Formats: sequence, structure tokens, C-alpha cells
Amino acid sequence: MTKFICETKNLSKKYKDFYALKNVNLTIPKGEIYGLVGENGAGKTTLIRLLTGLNFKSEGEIILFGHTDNLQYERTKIGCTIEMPALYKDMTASQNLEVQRIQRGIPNKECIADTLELIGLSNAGKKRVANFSLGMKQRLALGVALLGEPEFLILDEPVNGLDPTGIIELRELLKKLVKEREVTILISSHILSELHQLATCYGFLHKGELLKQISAEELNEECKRHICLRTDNIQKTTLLLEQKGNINNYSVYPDNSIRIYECLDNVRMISKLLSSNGVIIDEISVQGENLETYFENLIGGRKNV
Amino acid sequence: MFNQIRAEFYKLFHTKALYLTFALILAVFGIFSIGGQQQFVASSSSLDETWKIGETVGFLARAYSDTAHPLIEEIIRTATSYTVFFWLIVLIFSVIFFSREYTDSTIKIAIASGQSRIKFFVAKYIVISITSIFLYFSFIMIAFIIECAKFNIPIQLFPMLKIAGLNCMIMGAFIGITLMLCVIFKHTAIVVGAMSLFTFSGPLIYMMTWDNMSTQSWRVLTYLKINPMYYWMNTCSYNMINNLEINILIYFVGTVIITFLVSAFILRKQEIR
Repeated sequence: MTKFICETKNLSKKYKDFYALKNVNLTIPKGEIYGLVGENGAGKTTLIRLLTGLNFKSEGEIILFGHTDNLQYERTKIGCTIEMPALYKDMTASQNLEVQRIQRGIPNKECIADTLELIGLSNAGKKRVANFSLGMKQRLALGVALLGEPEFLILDEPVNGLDPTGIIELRELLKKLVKEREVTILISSHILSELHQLATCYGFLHKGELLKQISAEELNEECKRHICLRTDNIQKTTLLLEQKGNINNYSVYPDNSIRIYECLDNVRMISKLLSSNGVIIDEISVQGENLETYFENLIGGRKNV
Repeated sequence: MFNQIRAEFYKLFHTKALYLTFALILAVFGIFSIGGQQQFVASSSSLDETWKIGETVGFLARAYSDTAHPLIEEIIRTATSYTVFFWLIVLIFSVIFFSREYTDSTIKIAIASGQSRIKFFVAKYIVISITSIFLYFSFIMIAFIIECAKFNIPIQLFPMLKIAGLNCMIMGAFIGITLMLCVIFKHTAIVVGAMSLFTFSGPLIYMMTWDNMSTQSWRVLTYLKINPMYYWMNTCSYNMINNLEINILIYFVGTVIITFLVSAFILRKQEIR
């Protein structure tokens, strides 16, 4: 059994001299909700298009369900929504689902009613999709993606057009799918606060490059409010914090910074303690981020390199 | 493949394209019902305007040498003449039914969920061809039977079926060219415009040149021979010259193979927007 549902190795997409994606090494573990974060034009949709076979890679490798060959077959295990909902506007919701059911050779006709129930469109009745709101179209597009119980769901901006209730319902539905059907989900969204409540791991794309992949736990750890401390002597600093400051909840990072997770409102005390014992402080500040600021700092940091 | 074809038929019966086609065919049937002698466009080498079989090409409806006792060939000519409008109807139907997958982006879902691009194309071709040919065949057979009944002439199915079969092959080739252009341009207006020009320039050039074909340049001859209307003009005029049946068979097989290969090549290389 493969550990990763989807992997890319040095995946690039080039248009003439412009790289829309450059050497992307992505790994999506089975059973995770992978949040793809990036501003407009970062390459999120390009990456999704490459994974789903709509566009062709210029360089690199795509591995789906552990296979690099016969990706067309592997894609039969994928359900997806890409950009705007792609639906037959002359048809009703159930007719749209029926087309997909026949096309994919799903024998069970009851899956139509079940899917409509799941996406909350049971009462859409004989209304044609042309008369649907954007939110209803998004739900139906998700329903189309869910038909045939795919192992891997790829959702490109699925909350666009959804009202707050719809967003909450979608979030709960996706969590339920992961829990009950062990579906793996790749989801891209501009609404980072929403993604933060859903994703279990993240990939940050910027100008076609995957800057970082990180698990939700690691991200929360990095975003946690803390006092960031840099001194000329780490050993002496930690000794002083523990023995004289009675501070034990801290971590030392490889970049020689110390993150203190207590006494957040008493920075002055820590500063005084260290100074009075001859430790030179290079930096001391209270930090802590949400996903938006984390992302901004991440791409901002890159900009300054 | 079977599932793909079933899905295409399901789409067909649940979209406007088919009903628009029905409405247009009914309109053509309305023109047929008006009666009277109706030569839409015709060119004849005979001077007496009797539109003799073998001496005329064009869309000749009810151009009977004897209005009380028409020849069976003239009735066949009448039944097929009205289908001049079918080329436009089939063109619009094919383009709407095929290109909407691009305009509505629904092709994305099929490709992204592992459907083969080639099977997708072939299923579309099969469904469009079956539907168009069925409607075309039904129309000319009904028109033929009505005309035979009107003049109390015994129905001779074989010559009519032969012409119908030849015309259906021409239509199969015509649909192949149309879908190939849909794959290349992906734009309804461009395909309809280009195909309309190509299709309807054929008869006009042919009518101007048909009685002195041997003096025409190779360019004119090539243009005519690749144009489905060249073959159809002859069958609908009952102008069965120069092994026309064999030429139509070669044209059908050649066009279907070439358009399929070109379409398949482009589809395999095409990035879906």
C-alpha cells in the first residue's frame, strides 16, 4: 500500500520562457486534507491541471497512487472540480449526475439520490442548472466529483460562491469524507482562514515554486504566540530562564532562536533577567501568526532573498 | 466506450440541440409541403428547361418532365433536393453538440476523471452521425413515399435506398470534417463560418464548371473532390456519372480516416482550457 496518494518530482510547466511551475516536489499523504496555498497566478490551478491531465508537464514526474505510468487509468480514481463548475446548463442537477454515472459505468442508480442528499440539492427538483446560483453550482460540481466514491478529491477553490452556511457544510462534509471513506483531498483556496480550519497539511506555492510543505501540527506550532529570543549565548540563556525565571515551556530552534510559550505579557522581566546576568540580547519580541500572516511572511521572506 | 456512447445519447436527449434540429427539419418539411416546382439552384446543359436526368446538376424539387407521370428518378431527385438544408442543420447540430463541451468546460470533467480523449471524440462522432443519418434518412424516405403516393407510382425502394446510402456516406464524411474543425478551433462561430463557406462554395463552383470539368485546373478539381457537396450534388441530381458510387465510398473512407487521425493527433496534444 502506497503511503502517498500523489507525488510530483521536479514537476515543471513552461510556457515559452515563462515557468508557471518550477521544480515542484509535492507529496500528499493518504487520508490527509492537503491545503494548497498561493496568491493569484502562483500556479495552483496549473498544478491541478497537470495532476488531472488537462495540461501536459514540461519536465518532471507525476506519481498517482504510486504509479508513474498509465496515469489515465489512475485518474479514474480521482474526483475533481477545477476553476468554475463545469456542468451541462440545459440539464437538471440529477441529469448532470446521471450523465456522469453512465459515463463512469457506475451501476447503482441510487447513488444519484444519495449524492443529491449529501450535497444538499435534493430539493433542486426540475430546476435547470442554468437557473442555479453560483453556490448551488459549486455544490453540484462537488457532487459530480464525489460520484463513484473517488479515493482522491481535487477541489480548486470549492468555496467560491458559497454562503457562510454552505462553507460550514462543505467543511463538515469534507471532514466526514476523510473520516468515513478515507478520501484524500487536495484543496486550493484563497480563503486561508477557511483552509486553516480544514487542512491537515499545507503546501505554499509562490510564483510557480513550492516554498514549503508543512503539517497542520507543525504550522500551528510555528504560528503559536511566543516570545522570540536571540542571544549571544543559548546555553546560559536557557539556564537562566529555567533556574532564575522559572520558565520551562520553551523550544530552541536550529537557527539559534528560542521560543518561549509562557510569560508572554512579561517580556520586560525576561529582558532584565538576561541583561543583569551579562547575556547580550540580539532580539526579543512577541510573535505569533495566523495562516495569512504566516503565508505573507513566507513569501515576503523569499522576496528579500 | 459503450458507456461513453450511452452518456452521449443521454446528453443528446436532454439538451436543446436535438430539439432545435427537429424544429429546423420540420421547417424544411414545411417547405416540402408547399408543393409546386422548386429549383433552388440548378445548372443544365439542355436548353429546353426539362431538367433531364444526367444533363442537370442542382437542387431540383418537382422538376418533372411530365407533371402527371414523373419518372422514379425524378421523384428520388425531389426527395433528396430538400435535404440541401440538412447540411446547414447537421452543421449547426454537430457544432453545438460537440463544441459545447469546450464552451461549458464539461470536457474537463471527462478528461480529469480518466476518460480517454480519443474515446470521447469517437463517441461524439458516432452519436452525431447516427442521429444525423437517422433524421436525414427518415426525411428523404418520407418525402419519397409521399411523392410516390401522390402520383400513384409503385414504390421502388432499391434505387432510393442506394441514393440514401450514398448520401449517408457523404454525410458521415461531412461530420468528420466538421468535428475535426471543432477540435482545431474549439469555437462555434469559427467552425460554422468556415464550414458554411467550404460547403456552399462547392455547389456554386461545381455548377459553374460541371459541364466542362476536363478543362479545369487541378486546384479547382481538387477543391471540388474534397468537398462533400460535389458528391451530393451528383446524387441529389441523380447524375450517376463516372463510377460515382465507388468515388463516394473512397471519399467516405478516406475522409473518415484522415479526419479521425488529424483529430486524434490534435486531441492527444491539446491542452484543455
